[in-house]
Amino acid sequence: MYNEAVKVSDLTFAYDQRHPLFRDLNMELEMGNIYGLLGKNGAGKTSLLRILAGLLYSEQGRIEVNGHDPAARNPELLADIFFLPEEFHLPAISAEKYQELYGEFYPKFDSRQFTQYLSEFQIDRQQKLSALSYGQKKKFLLAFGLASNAAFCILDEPTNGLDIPSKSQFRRVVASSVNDERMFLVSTHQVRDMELLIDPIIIIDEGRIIFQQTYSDISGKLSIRQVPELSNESDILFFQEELGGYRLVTKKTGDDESVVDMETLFNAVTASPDALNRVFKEDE
Amino acid sequence: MNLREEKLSYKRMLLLLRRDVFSGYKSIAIVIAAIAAILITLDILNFTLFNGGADPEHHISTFAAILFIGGFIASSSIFKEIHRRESAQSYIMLPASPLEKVLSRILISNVGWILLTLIWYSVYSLISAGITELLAGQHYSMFNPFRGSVLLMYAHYIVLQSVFLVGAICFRKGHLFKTLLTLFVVGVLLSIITMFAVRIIFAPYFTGFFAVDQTQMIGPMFENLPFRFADNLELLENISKVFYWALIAPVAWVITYTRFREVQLKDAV
Repeated sequence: MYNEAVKVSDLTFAYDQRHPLFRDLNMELEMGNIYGLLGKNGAGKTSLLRILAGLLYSEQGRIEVNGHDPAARNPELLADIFFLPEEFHLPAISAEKYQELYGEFYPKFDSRQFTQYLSEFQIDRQQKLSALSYGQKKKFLLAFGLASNAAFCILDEPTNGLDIPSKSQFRRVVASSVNDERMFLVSTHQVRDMELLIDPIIIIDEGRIIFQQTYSDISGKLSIRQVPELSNESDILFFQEELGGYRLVTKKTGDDESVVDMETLFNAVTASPDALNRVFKEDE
Repeated sequence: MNLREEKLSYKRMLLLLRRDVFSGYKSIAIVIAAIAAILITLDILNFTLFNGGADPEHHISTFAAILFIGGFIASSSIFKEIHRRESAQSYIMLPASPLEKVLSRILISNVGWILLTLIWYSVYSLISAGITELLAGQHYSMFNPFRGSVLLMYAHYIVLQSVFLVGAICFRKGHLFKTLLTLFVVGVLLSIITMFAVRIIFAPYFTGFFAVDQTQMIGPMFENLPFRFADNLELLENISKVFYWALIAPVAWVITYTRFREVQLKDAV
């Protein structure tokens, strides 16, 4: 089992040297979690995932995945990383042939699990992968990645292109496959798809991690609710107008359990990260 | 990470070779079947319509063309997967070390291509001989893939093909054309450098910037140099041989590996 799954220290990365995407970014991830990586378009979510997978090299800083630098592309580490990109390529072979050609690269690959996942996703083993729809291809890759028993599952916008039943299938399968020896890092801008799945939440903006909290901390310290009128509440951290009134983010005062509305939380954090983070620091 | 720290597992190499061969065998099978059909047709036409003779060297020249031209074309696109974003992602993430991945592609494009060509060509020559004997009563002499000149051809192919591997990894598109263009440009540059070197070394024999005194004999020009070319021909020949046989391919493979290590997803198109 890995103690410190992922550790990123002072990461600097730029596509264009004049405008670095990340400057001194720090992040630590632990096993047993399904991290949700949220951010605006162009915030660097995909780039961060690619750096963690060793697909991009950082200019400065230290990145460790299970104590290894992913840029070294060590085969043992690669066998422990499952990366599901948004755009991917699958050869014109059947699922069965794919398993035969690629499964042996992964020492922990479990063909029984693979069959189970395929059946759950209703994918025929004999069908050519190139003939599958985009959503089916994605589910096939997910089935293969989960059956590889890779410890680090990095998913980039996994629900894009999935229909409604597939999205719930996806949530069910991911939730049931996380354990103490595995972690998921899921980037998404479709927060509603992930609301009950991702925990902790990481929000990235302008090349920095501006927020990283667990679901229980958020629901314990913040209250996100809809009100018909804006009152003179002094502890409003953020509000946004919406149909039928306003949605407010305030510091929680009572003991009531509230559901975290991820979209409002995201808007609140990106609008005033310091105010939100202050609430969490106050009790430390 | 440097080359000495690279992992090399023969099991993973075999898995890579199996994957790579399986990925490309269909398109190669179609191409070689098409070439074989064209060659057999030409052989039949040669013996029936044009009354051509059974040139004993026929197979050598045709085989050389297929080995070299076909091999250079195939080698130029051996790293195509790494230049396309979607396929690059899955190939980089495949659990094998960069050294294993490069070695498998080198093996497929040189040893693999030689084996494929010699087996395929031997079979073709056999079938062609049978058909032309049946239709025209004559055939080309059988192709012997282990004849001395053919064996030397394999060695030359391994050396020259390595240059095309460098082109395959360095250029994102138009690998073959760009490699040939680069070789042409390098050739022109070397010629220019040689021209200036000659102008400097033999300065007393030039009457203008590049005009030579035509009355001068070339022999004495070399004799007056501090380095006696005539006495060191064997040494020069040996240096050239070492450069050609022992340096070109290994240097090209190291460049290919180094460039492969540097490939990031942002390089793919």
